[in-house]
Amino acid sequence: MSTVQTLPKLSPASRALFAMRGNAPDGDSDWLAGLRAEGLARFGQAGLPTPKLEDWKYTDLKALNSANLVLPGEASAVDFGAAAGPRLCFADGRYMAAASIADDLPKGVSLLPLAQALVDMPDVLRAHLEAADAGALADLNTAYLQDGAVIIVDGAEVTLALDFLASGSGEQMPAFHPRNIVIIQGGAQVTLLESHAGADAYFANHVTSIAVEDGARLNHIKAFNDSSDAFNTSLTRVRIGADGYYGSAILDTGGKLLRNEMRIELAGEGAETSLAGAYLARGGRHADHTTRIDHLTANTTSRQIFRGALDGKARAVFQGNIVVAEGADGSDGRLANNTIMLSEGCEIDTKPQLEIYADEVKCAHGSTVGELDDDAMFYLRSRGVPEAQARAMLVEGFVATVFDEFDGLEGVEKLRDGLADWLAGLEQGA
Amino acid sequence: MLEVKNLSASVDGKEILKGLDLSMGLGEVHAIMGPNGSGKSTLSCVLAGRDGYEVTGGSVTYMGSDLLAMNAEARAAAGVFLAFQYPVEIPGVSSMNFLKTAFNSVRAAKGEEPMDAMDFLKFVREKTKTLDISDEMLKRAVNVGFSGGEKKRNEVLQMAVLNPALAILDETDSGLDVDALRIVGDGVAGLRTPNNSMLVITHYQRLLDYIVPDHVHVLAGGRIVKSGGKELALELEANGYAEYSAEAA
Repeated sequence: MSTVQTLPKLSPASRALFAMRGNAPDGDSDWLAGLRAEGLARFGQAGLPTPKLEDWKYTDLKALNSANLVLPGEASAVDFGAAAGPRLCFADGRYMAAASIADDLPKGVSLLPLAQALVDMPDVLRAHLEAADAGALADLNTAYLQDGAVIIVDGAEVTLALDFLASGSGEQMPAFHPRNIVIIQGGAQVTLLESHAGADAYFANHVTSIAVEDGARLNHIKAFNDSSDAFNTSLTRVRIGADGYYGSAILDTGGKLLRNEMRIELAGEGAETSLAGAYLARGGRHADHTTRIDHLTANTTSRQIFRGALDGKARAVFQGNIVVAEGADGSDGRLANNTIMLSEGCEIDTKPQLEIYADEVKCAHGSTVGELDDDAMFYLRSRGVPEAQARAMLVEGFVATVFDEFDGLEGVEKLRDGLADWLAGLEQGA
Repeated sequence: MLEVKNLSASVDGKEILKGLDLSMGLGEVHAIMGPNGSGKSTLSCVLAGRDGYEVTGGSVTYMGSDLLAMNAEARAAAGVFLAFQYPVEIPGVSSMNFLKTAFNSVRAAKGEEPMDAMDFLKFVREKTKTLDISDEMLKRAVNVGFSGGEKKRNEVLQMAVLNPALAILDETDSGLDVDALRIVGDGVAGLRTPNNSMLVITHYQRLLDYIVPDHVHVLAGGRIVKSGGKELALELEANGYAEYSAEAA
């Protein structure tokens, strides 16, 4: 293994993340150790992404350089709240067996921690782990491959949950790298609820690989409500087979910095995806939602709508790219991004893109940035609604509609509640 | 209940109201008629407290208080209601939620407890019967996709729910066909009591067939230039505003 001294060009945070690998657990099978070493080597070449990279132009991780990054210590008892159904719980990236509920699962449903799955079914996982083209953060994740969730659903209809809680200690910033693998097959219909929350400073670097095979359906409901000192980089890669569907409703209300990156491949004819994201940011938050949808095959459909509201000195980034491959005729891709600016000091960088290499396609993208409508504000106030509450109502009306098409699914009400909680803070001038 | 004295107001530096006087008693209906550009809508916005209208002189006393010192929501809580000429569309906010929030905001401002959802639903259903407003319409986002008639009926519903002491109707008859005018006219007339007052701002006399005014004023050039009884409205309908436009110019 290389030493720190051979990597002088890396930033302090990159060096720290590289070096702490030496103290992380290893000792599994050779192929896994090899995989980690390769991931670490690639990360060592590149380091953490910087704004010099096109994809990272608007999001800078340099604040990590002044953090005292460490491996997570022993996880203390953490309250994950009541469970509504099967779930896996993670504290600082570590699997928490006591809080998890993974027995008595319906037929065709596997829900287990990665460490166990690596022992039980290495051959199934290999193909999903050995991707080397996902960027330095994914390489870093691979270097620390240890914990995470493995979900395999074959033909069943089920709702499963993944809960990630984390906490720093003020002085030290634990860095952890959960890896999740989700395989939905045999026409299964799955709702996956994923939540992120925590306290103090930590750096969570998630990678989730999802395969939605022919005719299967997955609705992925994600709530990012990390602590206001936390960094969360979350990469979700999805490959969708013929007539498969992947939908994702995302609420982003937390974290000092969130990068929610989604790369979706519509790989089989008739594959479909729909992403609905809401980002709410105040104070000095940085919220980055970056998507890339590849229409690889004919007659594939994608829908994306991301809406947000920014207050204080918050900054949001939206980068959405629809790529239609040569021969993917009949592709239908739409993308919209709309942001409301509630303050003078906030900022949005929005970059919708289309790359089309096929002849017969329907694609559209658009983005808008604006303030709250004066007429609507006066209308509400003239009916007696106080100004702060009127603002909150208008923001809610503007943002919450992104979730409409997911209504009725488990977890969506919770997203709406989370949005309402954020708006209550707006009313109180938080 | 409302005393407007020598009121002057400007928008974007341009003076629109130029010394307007108006005195309304409780239980009275006053109509303000006038040509386009005479200041009718500016008067309604100034009375309702819209930002962007600068009062440059005069006073408005409402129930003994300085109305101009209150913000829009405080005026609503005090019983002032403006029915909009162009009701605003609010995507994502259901009509029912909007009504409930407005109603409970006004109650809260008076120090009263909010009405619970079930009681409120019953309360609203009583009001919707005569206005031909369905439950389905209440579920839709405020005014989004509503026809012109539906929007105006929705204004009258809000008025019925908030039960204002002073209702200002800004060209509520505009854009309505005969049937819609009847529903809206009857709806507003049904809300008239000895304990509230209405200021009906209109270009035409036809709404006044339903809401018969005690006093009619002609607004031209930013001032009330003539006042009379309900027959003045008929006279204006017959002769038009030509003489007042000339006077104002």
